Parts: sequence; C-alpha cells; structure tokens
Amino acid sequence: MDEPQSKIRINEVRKSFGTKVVLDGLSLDIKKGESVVVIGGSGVGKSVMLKCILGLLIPESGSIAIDDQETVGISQNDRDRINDKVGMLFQGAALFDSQSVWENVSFGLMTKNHSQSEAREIAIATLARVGLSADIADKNPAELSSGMKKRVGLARAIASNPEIILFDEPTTGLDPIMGDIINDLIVRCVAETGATTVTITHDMQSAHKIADRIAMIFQGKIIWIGGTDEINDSGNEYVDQFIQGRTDGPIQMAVRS
Amino acid sequence: MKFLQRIGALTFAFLATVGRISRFTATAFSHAVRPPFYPRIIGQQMIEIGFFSLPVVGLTAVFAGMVLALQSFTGFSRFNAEGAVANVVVISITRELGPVLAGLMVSGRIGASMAAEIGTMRVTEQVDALTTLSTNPFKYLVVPRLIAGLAMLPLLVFVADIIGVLGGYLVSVFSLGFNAANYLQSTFDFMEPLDVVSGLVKAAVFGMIIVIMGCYHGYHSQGGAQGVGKATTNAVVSSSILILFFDFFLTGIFFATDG
Ligand SMILES: Nc1ncnc2c1ncn2[C@@H]1O[C@H](COP(=O)(O)OP(=O)(O)OP(=O)(O)O)[C@@H](O)[C@H]1O
Ligand SMILES: [Mg+2]
Repeated sequence: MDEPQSKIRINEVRKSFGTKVVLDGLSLDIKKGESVVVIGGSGVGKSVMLKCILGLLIPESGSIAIDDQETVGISQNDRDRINDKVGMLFQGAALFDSQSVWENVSFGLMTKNHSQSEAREIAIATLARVGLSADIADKNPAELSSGMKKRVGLARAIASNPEIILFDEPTTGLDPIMGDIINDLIVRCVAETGATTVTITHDMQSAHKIADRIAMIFQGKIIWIGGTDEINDSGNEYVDQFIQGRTDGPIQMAVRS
Repeated sequence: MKFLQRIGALTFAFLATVGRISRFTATAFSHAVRPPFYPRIIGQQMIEIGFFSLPVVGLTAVFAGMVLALQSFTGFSRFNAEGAVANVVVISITRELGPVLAGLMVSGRIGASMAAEIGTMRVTEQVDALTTLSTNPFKYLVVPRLIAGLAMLPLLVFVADIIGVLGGYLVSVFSLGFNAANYLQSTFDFMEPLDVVSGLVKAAVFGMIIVIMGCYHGYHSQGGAQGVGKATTNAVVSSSILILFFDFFLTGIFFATDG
C-alpha cells in the first residue's frame, strides 16, 4: 500500500477526424481517488479525450485502461459494465428532453431495480446537493436556464455515486457563487465517496480549488502535468501564457497557422 | 471517362448505404430479442403510431374508396359491367391502396418525427448520454419503435380496409344507385382471405421500413439543426420510395401465379 493504483491509464492515444489529428499520442495516468483538472485552449480535444475514456469515440491507436482493464476494442457488454462505474457531465448537459428533471437525474438508477418513488427521492436529494430545489423536479428540461440545466446534468452524473466522474466544464455558465458551490461539491464528491474525477475547465480559480493535479493539453498531447501548487511557476511558457491569458506567447503561433 | 467514373462512384456510394442500412436493421432485430425490454416505451410508441395515425389514415382510406367506386363505375358502365364495382373496390383497397396509402401517410407522420427526435438527441449528445448511463441506444430508442411499427401498421391497415370499403359502399349506394344488400353481398363474395392477408403482410413490412428509415437517418444525423432537417427529409423520401418498391416486389410474390 505505497503507490496508489491507477484508476484511468491513457497511453499514447491517437484520434483524428478525417485528416485533422486531434489527439496525437496523448498519455495521462490518473490515480485512484485523485482529482485531475485538464486545461487547454478551445478545440484542442479536451472533450474528445473524455469521449475516448467513455468509449463514445474509438481511438485509432493507443490504450485506455480503467481499473487495469483495457477498454479500447472491448465488447459492448463489457463496456456497459465499465460505464456503470462512470458518471459524465456533458459540456452541453445533454438532458433527455422527453423526460422530466427528476427522471433525468434518476435515469441511471432506474436500471438498477429502484422503485419509482425511491428513485424520485434520490433524485430530489441529489438536486439539493447541486443547489436546486424540489419544485423543479417535475419540470421539463426545456423550461430551465442553461446554468440550471448544467446543474441537473451534474446531478445526473453523480446520482448513482459512480467511482469515476468526468466533468466537462461544470462551472461554465454559472454565476461565481454557484460556481463555487459546484467546486465545493466536486471536492466533497472526492473526499466523501473517494471518487476519481477528471474535470475540464477554463476557470483557473476553480482548477485551483478542486485539483490535486493539473494537466494541460496542447497539440494533441499533455505538455505539462503537475501539482496544483506548482502551476504558477511551472517553468513552461505555454502554461504560463495560458493561465495568465496573454495573447503574446508560443500558443499564438498555432492560432495563426 | 469522367462520366463513367461518376456512375461508378455513385454505385459504390449506393451499395455502401444499402450495406449500412442492412447492418442497422440486423442490429435492431438482434437487440429486439435480448433483454432489457422497455414495455412502457413500446406502449407509448404504439399509441403514437397506431392511435394518433387513425384520423389521417381513415380519411385517406375513405376518400380512396369513394374515388375508386366513382372511377370504376364510369369505366365499367361503358361495358355494362357496373356489377364489378364492388369487386374492384374491395380488391384494390385490401391489396394495394390500404397498405400503400397508410404506409405513405404514416411515413410522413411517424418517420419524419422519429428522424427529427432521434436526430436532435444525436446532435445534442443525448444519445451519448444514454450510453454513459449504461443504456443501449438501440434497445432504448430503436427497438421499441420497431416493435410498435411492426405491430401497429397491420392494425391500421385493417381499419383502413374497412373504412375504404365503406367509402366505396357509401358512394355506390347513395350516389350511384346500387342496392345496399347486393353491394355488400358482392363485396364479400369476391373478397378472398389472401387479399386481406397480403395487405396486412405488406403493412408489417412498410411499418418496418418506416421505422428503420426514420431511426437510421436520425441516428446518423450530424451537424446541428440543418443536419436534423436533412435527416427528416431523407427519412420520408427514402421510406416512401422503399414502400413503393417493396409493394411491387411483394405483389409479385403473392400474386405471381394469379390468373
Ligand atoms: N464528431 C466530430 N467530428 C469531427 N470533428 C470533431 C468531432 N468532435 C470533435 N471534433 C473536432 O475535434 C477538435 C476538438 O474538439 P473538442 O470538442 O474536444 O474541443 P475542446 O477542447 O473540448 O474545446 P472547448 O474548450 O471549446 O470545448 C475540434 O477541432 C473539433 O472540430
Ligand atoms: Mg469541450
């Protein structure tokens, strides 16, 4: 019991769309119970990386192991079993608009032999955790603001207490106070349930609060990874430019090309 | 040379699409026989397809029956063969017009809405979200619709048969001066079980075509609202063409040896 074991091990993953290479040999090792924040410019492939972890996109090469089980190229049944351990908040929330808010939140529980009323209770309790009151439970997702949708998506991702939770920009579109409530929630998820989380964010304040380690993607690779306290003096000019939000620096070259 | 190349490319693209749709269909049927099943969604879809299509299918059927009676009457009266009107109406409705008109109407109603709904779910990542919640999108979205389509189209066509024949009866009796009892008598004398059965088999096949085309185009739509719009159009156009193609094909099978 010295080195904590890997929960997610991404090794040399390549993924392209047509001729456009998005992930170009990306490797990332995430330990059990760790909270990793992934940063990087818009369109560098952060969401694509999460979708590869979930098996929604299949990498052309490389390996992704979850709990030391290889997931690239496995059967749908094995995939379903792995996905039972994973919760995902999509960047656009991806709520089912044919179903009410509480049915959305408890969707993953319905398949696990919970009764209707039990599922509803869990859904309302989970909504409370993301700062939403019970009276929106019967609303349709179309009636919610986008920040509320995001939080319902968050509630759906954490409702079944998964071992791994992937958050794609959880605080985007929320006011600063609510954003901080969500930060606390993610910190608590890790502390209380021992969940392993990967969070994508552009919000450095949020990254500092929730991350054990921060990784930066650039041109399809992780170009820097380190402890949260190290990021301000990483010695990497890409990271410096990104976290300071400067327009001059090495990243701009890639923007122009 | 350029021209031949284009023809070749189009042929390959066509065959590739046929292959993809065949695989989609096979996958759907293979999931249909394995749990989990979603009876609640099957029920919802049955009501959506079967019950809510009744008005439009009923209206088309009654007018088709009425027009048939009128047209065949004007045609047959030239040969003093007015007696065959009932025969023509019942055979045309049960064998052809019932299933084909119902199929085309339902493809406009149901095929379009399935493509739009599943297409929107695809482009807003709801289909992906299903997968992450350990729910197979095929089992959850495609299979219930397929089962409902296979079950409800024959039922709809059976109702359309009755209403269509009734339309012919109304025109013949109240406008063309036929004797009501005689008309009904000759309707039932001429009608053979195979007429109705073949129509119902066609209906089931059309139901499958409508659902598969709606789901296939929705499932593979991409690129936002425009992509969903394209998927909807493609679903309706392709299922309408396939319905007419399979109608011809099935008629050949059922009545090839008919005199
Ligand atoms: N399904 C797809 N088909 C084609 N290209 C895609 C697809 N999904 C993503 N891409 C491309 O992959 C690249 C990375 O996309 P991704 O969504 O991962 O960006 P991101 O890092 O999440 O950006 P953002 O911070 O803006 O969300 C983009 O250039 C995008 O055009
Ligand atoms: Mg993204």
